[in-house]
Amino acid sequence: MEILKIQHLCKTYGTGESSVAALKDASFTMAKGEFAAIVGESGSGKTTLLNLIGGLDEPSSGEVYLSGQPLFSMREQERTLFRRRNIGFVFQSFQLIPELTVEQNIVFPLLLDYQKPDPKKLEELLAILGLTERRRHLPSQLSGGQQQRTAVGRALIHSPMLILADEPTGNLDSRSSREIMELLTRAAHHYRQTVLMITHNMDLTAYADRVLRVSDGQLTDLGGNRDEKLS
Amino acid sequence: MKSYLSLIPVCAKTHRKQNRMTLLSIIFSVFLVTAVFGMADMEIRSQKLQAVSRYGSWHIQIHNLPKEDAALIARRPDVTLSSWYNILNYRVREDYFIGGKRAAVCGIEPSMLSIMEYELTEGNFPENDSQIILTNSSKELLGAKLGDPVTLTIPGGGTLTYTISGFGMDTSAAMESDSIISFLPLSAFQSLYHLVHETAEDSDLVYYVRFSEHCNIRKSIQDVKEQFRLNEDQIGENTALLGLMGFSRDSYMMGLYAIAGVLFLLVLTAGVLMVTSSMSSNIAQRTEFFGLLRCLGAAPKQIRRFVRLEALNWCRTAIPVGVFLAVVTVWGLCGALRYLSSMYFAQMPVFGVSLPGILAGILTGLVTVLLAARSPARKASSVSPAAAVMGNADTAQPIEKSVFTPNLPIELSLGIRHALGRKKNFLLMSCSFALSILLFLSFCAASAFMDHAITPLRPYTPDLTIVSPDSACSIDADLAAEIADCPGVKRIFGRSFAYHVPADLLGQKKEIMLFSYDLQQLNWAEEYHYVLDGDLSKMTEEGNYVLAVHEQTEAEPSLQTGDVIHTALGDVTVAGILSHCPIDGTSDMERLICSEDTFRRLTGETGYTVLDIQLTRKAADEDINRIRTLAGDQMLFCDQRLGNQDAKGAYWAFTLFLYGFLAVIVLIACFHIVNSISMSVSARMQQYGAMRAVGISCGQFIRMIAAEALSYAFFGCVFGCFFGVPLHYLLFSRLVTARWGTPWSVPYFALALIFLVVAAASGAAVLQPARLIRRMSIVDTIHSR
Repeated sequence: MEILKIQHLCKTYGTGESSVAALKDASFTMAKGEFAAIVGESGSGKTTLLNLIGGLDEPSSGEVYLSGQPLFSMREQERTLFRRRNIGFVFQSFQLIPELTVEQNIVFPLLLDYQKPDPKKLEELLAILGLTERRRHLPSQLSGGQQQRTAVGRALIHSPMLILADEPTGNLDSRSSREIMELLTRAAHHYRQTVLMITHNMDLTAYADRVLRVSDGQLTDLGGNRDEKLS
Repeated sequence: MKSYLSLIPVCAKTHRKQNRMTLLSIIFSVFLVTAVFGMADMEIRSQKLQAVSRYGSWHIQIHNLPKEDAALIARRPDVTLSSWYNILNYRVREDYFIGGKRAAVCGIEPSMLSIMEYELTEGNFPENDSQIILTNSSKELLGAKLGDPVTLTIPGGGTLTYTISGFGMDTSAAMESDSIISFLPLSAFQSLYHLVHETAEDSDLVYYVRFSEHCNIRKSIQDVKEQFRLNEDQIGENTALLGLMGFSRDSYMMGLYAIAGVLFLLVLTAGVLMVTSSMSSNIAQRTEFFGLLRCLGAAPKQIRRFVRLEALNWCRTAIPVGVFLAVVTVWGLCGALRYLSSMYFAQMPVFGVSLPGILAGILTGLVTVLLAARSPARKASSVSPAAAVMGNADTAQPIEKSVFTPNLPIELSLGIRHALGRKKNFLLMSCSFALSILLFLSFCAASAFMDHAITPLRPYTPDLTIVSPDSACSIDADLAAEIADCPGVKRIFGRSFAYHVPADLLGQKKEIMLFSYDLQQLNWAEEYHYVLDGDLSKMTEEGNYVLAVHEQTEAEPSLQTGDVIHTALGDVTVAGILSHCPIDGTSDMERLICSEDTFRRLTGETGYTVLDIQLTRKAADEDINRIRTLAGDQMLFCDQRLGNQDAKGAYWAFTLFLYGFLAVIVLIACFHIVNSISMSVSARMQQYGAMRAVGISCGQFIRMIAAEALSYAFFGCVFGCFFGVPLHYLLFSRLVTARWGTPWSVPYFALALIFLVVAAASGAAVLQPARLIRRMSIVDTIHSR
């Protein structure tokens, strides 16, 4: 079932001679429960693509459909609410709220929606994340891996259709990286959530069902399977 | 680049936006102090002129001084002028007449004219004992001119004839009492004095001394006292002038100096706090930059130097701008004062430049910035080099506990947390607000002082008054009608008096003073809220209704509405109580006001005792002379225009100063709140970017920032009231209660007003960050580091 549809997405920064085309006519679709990795060199346009898909930035042209809903036809306020309820983000630098505990950070998207978290679901998620013991800790009292697991928990708590992860293991050691990748894989395969991840680490593409490459703003679908190595 | 400090101007260009608020804070502090000092300087100059014109420019007066000692004092190098002086009939109540007009006679030496800053408008100082100087009004009153002989009649009927050698300026006292002031040379005065006081051994002359302004006057006075063994009773000081020159030892003036000093310190502290918080936020936003400098080998001392020099670099722009704005403001205010009271502030320089004001501004700018830079410089120098490398500068001060409140929506919880999270910042912000409240309450106490010290003109204050000489109802009502038709007359109203009327006041035998009000005066009482109790509509009814007067300074009112008083004229009923009336009361005579009809009914009198006249702005001297002629010589004619101008001028000056200052304080509070919130939001932009990505809406953001602003404001108000109300009590007790006896009460209105201002400013503080967040690029913000 198609959940994400990208159509002729373009992003150009600047105007005239100084304009830079960061993304050129990118189109692809993703099915429910699919885990895709985007690879590419620094400055190739992969983060731009992820930001556009997440509705954090506006494209110069093209459209993003999430569950059939055109993201950029919505007004800013609607898009914010849509993002809050349907998209989960995982950032390289965690971006947790330093004033909130692990548990509060995880339920933050629900709190923004004035919803009461389901304690059973929260317990289960904390257990999966391995953070049950650390639930009352503040981000500053956690290791990098634990902070990123908290960030993943925050992306999963409201069961979004799409999880966008921008270099989620960029600041982590190999053990923590593996744990995070297993969590994302589980989200895709166990909970049927669509995951799109940016990575520099070619080894991590092994976790993905599909690999996309961005080079000079051009998107190429490399297709691929798990364990496929890309040069 | 010659040194690492060359980075400062480069950084300033790059961080222009971030520096703007700090620059504004410094400009505001400099502006405030320069404007306040500048205006105080101008006011002191104006007050000095006023004090000199009212009391003279002498510093001390010495009674019972032997002539030899006076000669020695005159030869002192620190004495610029000295003169003997005395006056006969100072209150113009005794029977001294010149050409039928009551007169006061002064004995002076030529130097006294300079000491009193008294100018001769025509003629010269008397060359012999047969010459005399008269005030200008005598030209109109007596039709006198230079060289004319005038006859001085003294009590007992004796007469002396003098020739007019000169005319001098009119004084408000002379105009008010419709009298003439005359000046005789000292020897002629002494002869006159002995003629009047035959048994007197000397002529009670007083020696007036003016010291050089360049010496320490206080020390000179002490020297004179010790050298000539003068006791406290012998020596009198020109307290008003010495006070304005900063030399007064009068305990009340010392109290005022102390209060001025405290208020200045409070303003300075407000400035330091404001600049410190701006600079701290500015530094906090550049922690990584300082970390990077440390990484590259900069020593903490170098970083401190960098921050201090950067702050001084801001002064290069901020101080001249602040000073310039203040000078222009002072010009505007001086111009406004001259316009408001051209007489009182006639000599106030419109384009005057106050050197003390400018110096105070520059000094304040530098001191404020250097003091304010200390803490941010320390903070910047203590940034770990690792912070720059790891990109986790923000965690240099880890948060120790979560203050999430489950009962509150998450955005409010976070907003409060942001305010309370950093204790130092929270204290700094709350204290700044508290300080603004302290300043506001202090000035409210000063405003109460002003209301008591300077009585603004009442609606019934007349410019001219015609009084029946024997206090009888002998002014014909037709005269009032005739004067009402004269050009220059805006309004005329009369009062008829019945003095010493025996009455039974609630079982107590007492005398009353009954006087009438016309409709206009009754309307004023209603319109200006002078009615403390009762109903004025009854006053025009048939019954014998009266109004009692109860001044605020009195204890309990002796009469109540509804009381019936049995008087020798008939029974009267109290219809109401007034808080003010134009007649001063005495403890042994109750004042009762009735309508004109009631007065006629009770006394049978139809004439007036007093006619009060208010003039139009365009009224000319010829118009006043015409009224004087109509009134005739039999009536007492008082011209109160000069005195009214003085009162009006003083009131406007104080009002402008106090409320101007109050407005500035409110502005500081508003500016500070807006500035601080804007800084706080800028410092958390990256976090806000992440929150936006996760899905926080703009409305939730605004609520979060509003919660933060209101938290500072709330605690600021609590601290401000905790310290401000006792301070208000202290100032009020010293300034008002000690002098007028008015008891202190909680300044509810002032508190409500400042709370409202703080709440409004907190609301306004949210606008700029809200705009910032709406325009914020989530992508740029998240990836800004």
